[in-house]
Amino acid sequence: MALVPDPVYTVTYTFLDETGSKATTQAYIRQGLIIQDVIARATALAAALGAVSNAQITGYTISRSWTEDAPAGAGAGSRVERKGRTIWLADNYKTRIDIPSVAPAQILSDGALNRNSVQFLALRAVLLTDFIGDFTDSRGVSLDALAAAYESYVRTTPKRQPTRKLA
Amino acid sequence: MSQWRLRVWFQDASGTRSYTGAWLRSPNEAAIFAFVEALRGLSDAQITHVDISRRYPYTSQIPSGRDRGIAVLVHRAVDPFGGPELDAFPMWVPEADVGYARDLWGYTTTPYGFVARSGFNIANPTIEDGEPVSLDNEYPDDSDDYYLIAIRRNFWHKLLRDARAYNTLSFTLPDAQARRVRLDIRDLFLGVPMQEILQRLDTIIQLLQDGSANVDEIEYLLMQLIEALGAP
Repeated sequence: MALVPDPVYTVTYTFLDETGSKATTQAYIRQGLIIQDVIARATALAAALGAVSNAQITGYTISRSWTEDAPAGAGAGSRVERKGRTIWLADNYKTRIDIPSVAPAQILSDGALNRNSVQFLALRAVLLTDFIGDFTDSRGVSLDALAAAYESYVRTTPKRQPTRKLA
Repeated sequence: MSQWRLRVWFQDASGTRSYTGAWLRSPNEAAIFAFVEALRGLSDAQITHVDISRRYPYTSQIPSGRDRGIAVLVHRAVDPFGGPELDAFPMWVPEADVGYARDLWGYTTTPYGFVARSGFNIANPTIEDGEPVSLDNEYPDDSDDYYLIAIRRNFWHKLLRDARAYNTLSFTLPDAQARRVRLDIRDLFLGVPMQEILQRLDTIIQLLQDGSANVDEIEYLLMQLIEALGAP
């Protein structure tokens, strides 16, 4: 059971022509390069694409993914609508990280998550102390405190309905 | 978005998928894996995959003209340790015709740091080896079947007719290249991944309906939609 990296970084370029029509094209950069080299190659290709196209390049997205090679299997009764909702502070602004199908053992009788469990302390350490400065809110401000942690349910959307609907 | 967006995807016992996300200042693998392991301990669903992305704005020229069509460069991809040809890498360049796109020929190859989607090397073509050809003047033959620039005129507006032309063209190519070209034709037909857009709209509506809307989450979902639609 391990996360296996896809062999490439995917770079998606966005084009805009004078009519307002948009288009994208993709290029791939091998894994193993440091991210600054990936950005440098992506920027260089943007310049080359801009030189051969009449359209405007409005930006590009660099993405990378990992796939679980041997998923352990979902626990019986697990449902992603049941969330462990955690609210974190970043210089007093709130940001949220949900835990899909939070394990029942993590939920106290009053609906709060058990903040003293080994598993929750591990998450807290990753976000606040083990990688200081790495985890941020959407503005780029580092997470610095936990504000709340509780069980929450979200509505079942059509895409989340079970495959089997009849007994 | 000025930060890296990390998504960890889950699947529950019913087969339903969902993800949770976090913002990162850099794509630090150690931090990513530690975050995933911490989530693994807290959830009874299974983690299926993880992805991370960041958009970089780019300022290029003001768009001008709309009649160059689309150029397609097909480079062959090979096993980096030698061996047979394994894949092909087609690159679609909007608003670029043969004359211009020819300048890009050989650029997206491994010596410049690029590879095929499968991770295989893209061979750097020898000068004058396999000149690009165009639908405008000829179909490729055995001497230049790896290297192709096809032109679709009038930008997106004649998609169906031209896709048929590409499909015809794909029958003249060796299997590996033909398959890649056909896959790209399928992508052209599909256009914007509407399923993903509907899924994200669904999530936004759901967040608003249950009163749990979080500005970060809504902002991120809306930015994803804007990006998927190709806006700056």
